[in-house]
Amino acid sequence: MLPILLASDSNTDPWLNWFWYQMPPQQLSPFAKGVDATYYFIYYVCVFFFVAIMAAMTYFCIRYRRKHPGEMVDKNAPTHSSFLEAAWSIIPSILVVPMFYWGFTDFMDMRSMPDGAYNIGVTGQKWNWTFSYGNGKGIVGGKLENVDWHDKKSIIRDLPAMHVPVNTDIVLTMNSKDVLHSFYIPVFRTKQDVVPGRYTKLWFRADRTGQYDIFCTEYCGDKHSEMLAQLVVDTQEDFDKFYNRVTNLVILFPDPVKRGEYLFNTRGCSQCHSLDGSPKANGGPSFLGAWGTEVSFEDGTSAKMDENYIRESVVNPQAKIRKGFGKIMSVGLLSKDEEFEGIIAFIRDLNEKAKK
Amino acid sequence: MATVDVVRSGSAGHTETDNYLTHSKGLLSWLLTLDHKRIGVMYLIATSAAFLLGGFFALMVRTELWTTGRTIMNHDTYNQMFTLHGAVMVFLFIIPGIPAALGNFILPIMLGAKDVAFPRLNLASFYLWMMGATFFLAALSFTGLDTGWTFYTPYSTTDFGTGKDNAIISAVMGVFILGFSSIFTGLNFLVTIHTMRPPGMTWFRMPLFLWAIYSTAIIQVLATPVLAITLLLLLVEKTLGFGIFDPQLGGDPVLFQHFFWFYSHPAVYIMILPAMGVISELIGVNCRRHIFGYRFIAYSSVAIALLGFLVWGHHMFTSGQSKLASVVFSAITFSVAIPSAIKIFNWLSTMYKGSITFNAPFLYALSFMFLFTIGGLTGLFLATLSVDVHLHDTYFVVAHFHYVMVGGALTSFLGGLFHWWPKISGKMYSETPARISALLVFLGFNLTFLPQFVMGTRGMPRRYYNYLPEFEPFHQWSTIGAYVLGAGALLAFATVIHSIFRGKPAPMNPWGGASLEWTCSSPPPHNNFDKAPSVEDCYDYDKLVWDEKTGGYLMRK
Repeated sequence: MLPILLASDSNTDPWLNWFWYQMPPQQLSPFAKGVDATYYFIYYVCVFFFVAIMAAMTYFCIRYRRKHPGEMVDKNAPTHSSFLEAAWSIIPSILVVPMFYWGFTDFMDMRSMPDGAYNIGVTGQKWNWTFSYGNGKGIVGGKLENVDWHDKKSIIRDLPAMHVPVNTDIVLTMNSKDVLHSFYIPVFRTKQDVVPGRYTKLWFRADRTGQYDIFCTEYCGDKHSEMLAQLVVDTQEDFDKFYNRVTNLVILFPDPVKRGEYLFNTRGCSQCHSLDGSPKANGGPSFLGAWGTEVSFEDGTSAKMDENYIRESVVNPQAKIRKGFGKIMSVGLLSKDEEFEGIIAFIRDLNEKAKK
Repeated sequence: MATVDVVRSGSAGHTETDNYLTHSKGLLSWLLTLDHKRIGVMYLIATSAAFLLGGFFALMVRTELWTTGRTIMNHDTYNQMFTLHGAVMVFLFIIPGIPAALGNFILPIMLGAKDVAFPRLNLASFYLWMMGATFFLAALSFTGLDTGWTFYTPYSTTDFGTGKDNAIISAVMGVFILGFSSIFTGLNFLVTIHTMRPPGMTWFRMPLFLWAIYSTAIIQVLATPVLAITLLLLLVEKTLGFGIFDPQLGGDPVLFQHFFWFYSHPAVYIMILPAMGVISELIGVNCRRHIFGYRFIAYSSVAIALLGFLVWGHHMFTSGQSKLASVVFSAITFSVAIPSAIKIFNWLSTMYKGSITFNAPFLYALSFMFLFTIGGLTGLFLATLSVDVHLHDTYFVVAHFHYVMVGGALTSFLGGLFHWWPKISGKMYSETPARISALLVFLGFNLTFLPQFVMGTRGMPRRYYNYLPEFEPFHQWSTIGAYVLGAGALLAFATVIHSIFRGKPAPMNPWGGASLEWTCSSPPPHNNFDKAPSVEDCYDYDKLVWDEKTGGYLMRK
C-alpha cells in the first residue's frame, strides 16, 4: 500500500511516532496501522504546503517591503493567471483523493463486524462503564472514588478493567442507560458513540498483551472526565482464568438461595414454573410450597420432593411426569454441583417464604 | 508630486465638524438611531463586550486545567465555564462580530449608499441581539448551564429538577432570538447589495468584502431557520414532554445532531467567510496591488457557502449514522477544502511584486494567513473517515476549530477593526502598541493551541475536568498561551480606546484604499454620500497619491 511506503512506519521513524502518538512501537489493531499511515500521509502533504506557503509569504514580505509611502508598484504585474489558478485548484483536488480513499477503506474495515468474534456487552451510564461477559453471566464494573489525579497508578487501581484475549476478534455491543456516551480506545484508533435506545458496535483485535486506557468522549455531564476504564489484553490462558473468576457463581453468589434465584431467573426456569402456587398455562407445576411434599405422577406412583427428585427432574425430565402435566420439559440448563445446590436451596427457601 | 491634481476634501465637501458622530446629540439619538454607522458602532461595543466575557470564561477554563485534578473550581463549575465560553463566543461574538459590527458600518459606504435597504430592520436586529444576550445573562444567573454550546439531547432535555432546567431553557430561548437577529441582518445585506449598488459597480466590481458578506447572508437566511425549528422542538420536548429526541419518549437523539449541524456547520462559514472578506481588503490595500484572481476569490466565497450546506454529517462519523452517509459526507467535505486553498494562494500571489507595509492590520492579516493555513490543513485529517474516528472529540478537534475560529475570525476581526478604525472614529490609533498586540495574539494563540494537536493525537478527550497526568505539561503550555493571548486582545482594545481620547485626527484615506469608504471623510458624514458616486475598479491603487501633509492618500482628479 502506498501510504505505508510513503508514510513513516513506527519502525522507520520512531521519534515522529513518539511525538504524535507516544505509543509503544507497534500499533495494536489491524486498522491502527492503516490509520497511522494515512495520518502521516496527510501530515507530510500539510507540512509541505504549509512550509511552501510560509516560505513564499516570508520572501515576499522581505523582498517587496514598502520603502516609501508614495511608492508605486509595477503596473505590469499580473492580476490573474488562468494557468496558475487552474493548477492550484486541480493539484489539491488530486491530492485529497487518496486521503479520502484510504480513509474510506479503513473506515469500512472498522465498521464491518467480523464473523465469529468474541462478544462483550458494554453499558454506559452516568458515569461509569460496565462490561458483560458470556451473555451477562459475568459483569465487571466499578468507578473512581477519591483518586490522586497526579498518580496514574491510583487512577488505574479503581477503574473497571475490560479483559480481552489476545489475537482474537472482539465485538463490543454497546448501549447507554441514560444520555450519549462514546467509547474510545486510543491505542486501537477507534471510537463509537454509545446511544440510548439503540445498540452500536465496535470491533478490534489486539496483537499484543498489555494494559491501555479507555475514555468516554461524548460529554455526558458532571463527571464525564471520570468515566474511564482500562483495557487489559490477556493471553488466552489468563483470559480464561479471568472469565472463570467473573462468571463463577460461588464467588458471585456465596449465598445458595441467592444463587438459586439468579439461576431460576436466568436459565429459563421462570418460563414455565411460577412462584405463586398456581401453575402457568401450558407450563409446569409451581414451586411454591412444594418442597418436602408427596407429589403424584401420571403412572400412578408418587414420591417425596427432595434433593434427588429435583436433580433427576432437571437432568432427566421425562423420568417422572407429574399428574396433570404433559411431557413438555426439555433438559434443564444446570449441570454443576453448585448450581444444583443453589436451585435446591432456592426451592426449599420458598417454603419458609410461604409460611410468612 | 506637487503638480498632481487631487481631490482634497471628502465626498460631499462636508466640514470635519459635521459627521455621523456629531450629527445629533443625546442618548436617545443613539438608541433610536436608524443610521447604519451608529448601529454598527453599537454592535461593535456590544459584541466586543461579549468577546471579553467569553474570553474571561476561556481563561477560567484554562486556569482550571493547570493541574490534572481540581485547581480552582469543581466539576460542575468547570462544565458551566466551557459551556458559557462556547455559547457566548459563538452566538454573541463570532457570528455577529464581523458582519453586524464591521459589516454594518462599512457595507453601505462601500456601496456608495446612504444606508442599508431596511434601516428599521437593522435597528430591530440590534435589539434582538440585546434581547438574546439578556436571556444568556438570565441563564448565567440561574446557574447550571452545562450542556456544552451544542445542547446535545437527551442530556439537555433531561429533567434535572433544579435551576439547571431554567438555565437551559433560557439559553435556548436566547439562541432562538439571536437567530432572528442574524436572519434580519442577512436579509438586509442581501437586499442592499442587490438593489443599492451605485452606477458602474457591477457584481464583479464589488469589493471582495461585499462578496463575502453576500455569501454569508445567503447562509444566514437559509440555515438559521433550521436552528430555530430545532431549538423549538427541543423546548417542546423539555417543557411539554413531547418525544422527539429522547429515546425514553420514543425519540431519536441522533436526529437532533442532524438538525443541529445542518445549521451549525454552515454557521462555521457564517463565521469565517466575512473574515476572508476582511483579509482580501487588508491584503489588497497594504500590498498596494490589485487583488490577484478576483473572480476566483469571489466565486470561491459563493462555492463555500453552497457546499457548506452539504457537509454537516462530518460532525457525526462516530455518532452511529449509516456507513454510507459517512462516506458521502467525507467526500463532499474534501470538496470544501479546494475553494479555501484557492483563496490562500490568491492572497499569496497578491503579495508578489507588491509594495508591502507592515502596519497593525497587515500584521493581523499575515497572522491570519499563518493560522488559517494550519486550521484549514488540519481539517484534512478530520475529513478523512478513519483518521477522524481516532481524532473525533479529542483536543485535536478543539485545536483545529480554534485555528479557524480564533486564528481566522478573531484575528481578522481585530485586523479589520484597526483597518477601519480611523474611518469609524476619525482618530489614528497608536501603531506600536497595536503591532505589539498583533504579535502577542499570534504568539499566545500558537502557544495555546499547538500543544493541543499533540494532546489530541495522543488521545486526550475534550471537555475533561480531570485528566491523566501524562497530559499535564501540554495543558500548562496551553494555559500560559491563553494568558498571553488574553493580554494581546486586551492591549488591542486598550489601543483602540486610547486613540479616542489621544489619537491624532485621521485623514480621509490613511492606508491608500481604493474602495469607496476611503472617499468620504473620516468619520463619514451622516449621509455618507450626497449622490451615489460613480465607481471604477476598487483595487486600482494607481489613482492614489501620497500626501505628506495629511499623512494620507489623495485621489487623482
